[in-house]
Amino acid sequence: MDTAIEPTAGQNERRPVQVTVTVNNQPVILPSRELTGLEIKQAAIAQGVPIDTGFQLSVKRGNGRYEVVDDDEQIRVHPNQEFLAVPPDDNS
Amino acid sequence: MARRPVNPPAEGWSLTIPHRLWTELSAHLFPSGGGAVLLAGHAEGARGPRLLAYDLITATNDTDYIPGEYGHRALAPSFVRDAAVRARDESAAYLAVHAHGGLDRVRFSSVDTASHERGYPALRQITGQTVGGLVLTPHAAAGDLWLADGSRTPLAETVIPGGNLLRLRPCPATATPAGPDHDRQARLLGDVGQETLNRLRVAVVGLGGVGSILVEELARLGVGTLVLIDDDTIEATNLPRLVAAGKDDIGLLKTDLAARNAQRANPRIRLIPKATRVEHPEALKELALCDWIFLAADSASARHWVNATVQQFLIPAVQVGVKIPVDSAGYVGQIHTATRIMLPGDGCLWCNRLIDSTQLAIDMHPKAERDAARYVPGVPAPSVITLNTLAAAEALNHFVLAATGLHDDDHDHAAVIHRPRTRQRDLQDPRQDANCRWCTPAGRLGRGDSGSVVQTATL
Repeated sequence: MDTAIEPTAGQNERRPVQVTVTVNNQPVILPSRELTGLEIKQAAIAQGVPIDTGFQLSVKRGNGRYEVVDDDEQIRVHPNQEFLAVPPDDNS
Repeated sequence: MARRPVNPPAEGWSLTIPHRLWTELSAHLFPSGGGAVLLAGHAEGARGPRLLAYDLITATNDTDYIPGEYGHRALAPSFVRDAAVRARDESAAYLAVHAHGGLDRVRFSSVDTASHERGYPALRQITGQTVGGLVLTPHAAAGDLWLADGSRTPLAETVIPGGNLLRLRPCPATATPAGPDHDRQARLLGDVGQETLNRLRVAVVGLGGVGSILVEELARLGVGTLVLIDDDTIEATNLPRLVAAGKDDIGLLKTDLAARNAQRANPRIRLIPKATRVEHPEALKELALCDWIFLAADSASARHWVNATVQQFLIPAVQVGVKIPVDSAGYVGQIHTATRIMLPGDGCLWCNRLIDSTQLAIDMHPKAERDAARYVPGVPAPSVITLNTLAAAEALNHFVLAATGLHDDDHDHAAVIHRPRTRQRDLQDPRQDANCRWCTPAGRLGRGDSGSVVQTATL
């Protein structure tokens, strides 16, 4: 199993981290613990998750519910955290 | 906690308090008591005039809420003055609120009534608006309104649109036995629950794949009045998704089919068909008189105008939609259905980025210009009746349980996102922008008739 948080620099430097989360059940590696909603979507897109930046992003909270995250809203992510991204233009 | 009485909608003056304000007010009043003032807009309603609370001014104990000269406690004169000035400046009704002991019944004491008679004529002169008092228990509300025209009237009910659609009265309504037609259903909803459905006025905006199912089921549930809004006509490709539609119906207005289906399902139903787009003033006027709105239309403009109506007139709604992504190679992506509860004052469609402003700008042009403005010719989105049914059922169940007070949690109004390909069902809590110009007191929340939705919506 992957180690979700991996130090990649020397001990005396501020160590960048990689945090593996899921977006729509697909693993996505994020380059930081603090990211905006837009940055999370961009990372997911770059790693092949079939969404676009206009999708509505939600993060799963401890109570099992998803909470909507805005594009410019910064959140702290943790390993294996689950995100949901859906297109906002569902129709009827 | 003891089960709350279920009260059918009452005739007469009503007050609607957004769920968030009610939560704040309840925390302030119960169990220890306190004072506050609600500021409210005005609107006409289906059963009488409506007051629409949009802001709460809580009185600080011992500073603003002090030992009374006549009664136990009273709002301090300076607090009353400042609140009255706000009511005057904002053309808002002024309602002083306090709590009494008890649970299911409440009424003003003789000391309360004497204080109204002493103080409210002057407050009405200062504000030029309706002023009054509201006394609450957790399950009951009574109001004494002094109207701007010089008359005085009691408040028939106080409505709180939350996870449950609460209706508080001075004392519980007496039940009228449900008719034999709805006997099985009333065994769950209760006689008062069934009567509640019968007195409700519900709108369905969009009468296509989802709206067609909504209308059929609302009529069978026994909803008393349906407002049906859609300007579209039936095409051959619609037939597999429209309830009880046949080839002879091609070319018929969708409102006509919906009306026919509703009447067949319930001959006593009252119908108000509007074969227009929702932003047409006639449609908006009918929407503003409703108790509940189902939004099952595709366009950004429908989302915008319904969202505006929900916030300005404090009417709960549910937005229902289905997304089936299929790319040009035939790859089917993540299908989802969405059932989003829209509560006044609680994170609107704009706050949740569910209205595309570019699309909205295009939608607001005449049809020929709309078509010309789109870079790519419109390709019909996939649509399948079973997926529509999934979303519609979620919305209808939420409505029935909310209207009859059967949800476990008054506060829960999470959206439901179904992902049928993985059989996942997720609850999604909305977010709210702190100064949203639609769903906060800084915007149009509860402003009712003080500016029509049409006039106040700048894109």
